[in-house]
Amino acid sequence: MEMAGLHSYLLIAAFLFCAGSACVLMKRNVIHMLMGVELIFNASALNFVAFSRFAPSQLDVFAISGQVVALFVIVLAAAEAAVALALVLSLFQMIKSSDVSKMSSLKG
Amino acid sequence: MSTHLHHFMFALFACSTLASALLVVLLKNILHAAVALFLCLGSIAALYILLGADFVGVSQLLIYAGGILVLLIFGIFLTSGIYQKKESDMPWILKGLIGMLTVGFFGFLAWIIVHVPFASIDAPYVPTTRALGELLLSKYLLPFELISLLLLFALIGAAMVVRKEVKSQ
Repeated sequence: MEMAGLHSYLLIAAFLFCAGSACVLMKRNVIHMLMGVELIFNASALNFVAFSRFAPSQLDVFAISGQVVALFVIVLAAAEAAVALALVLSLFQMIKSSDVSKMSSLKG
Repeated sequence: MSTHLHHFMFALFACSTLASALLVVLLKNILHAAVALFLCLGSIAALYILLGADFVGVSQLLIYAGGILVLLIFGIFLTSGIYQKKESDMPWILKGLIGMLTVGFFGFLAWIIVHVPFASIDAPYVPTTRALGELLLSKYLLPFELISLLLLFALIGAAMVVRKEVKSQ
């Protein structure tokens, strides 16, 4: 297994995914959970770009498609962050806290 | 780039990615975690550039590190602030269980990745930005336009959600 090969990138992405899911599961602050979601998005995008680099022909349409998907992931993450933070802010105005365990009533 | 320099840069940015991702999970102060996330996203951008995906790397730096992270930090300031109130604590046994579960899942993924025999291709670096641009404006034109519409609607929706209700007299 060479050092900067496909395996090493996949291992980094697997680590990012596990760190992100641990962050989402363990934290009670909504914004800290959102950071975990961003880590998971990055893990998937890193996988796509790594597979695109180590494809048999790098300029092939299928190989470049990996980079296109990574770009789409980045844009979708931007949209997700904007909407999620808007929801967090309007929830904060309602219950004066960003703690998920306090967001338990359906109609404030 | 010479092979030795490439390996050195890869080791440097891989280590900083892993360490800062771990810090995001372990740090208690949310603003410190945001700074660790900034380091993590920057290192991932460097990894993209090492993978020959220049445009994706620069987009990552511009949109993630420059846009999304600033948005998150604004969110922190507008809600709990730097000195956050004590959040309700999860029982330590549940935390330990989640930690063991994720470490075990990482071990499982690593075992799979190491045992799958991917073909090792050591192709030289070729610039891909031109091909990426041509593909975005030919095969992926419809998804490209749709995603710009989606971003627009998401931003309008976010503004609608947080705006103050105007009382009609």
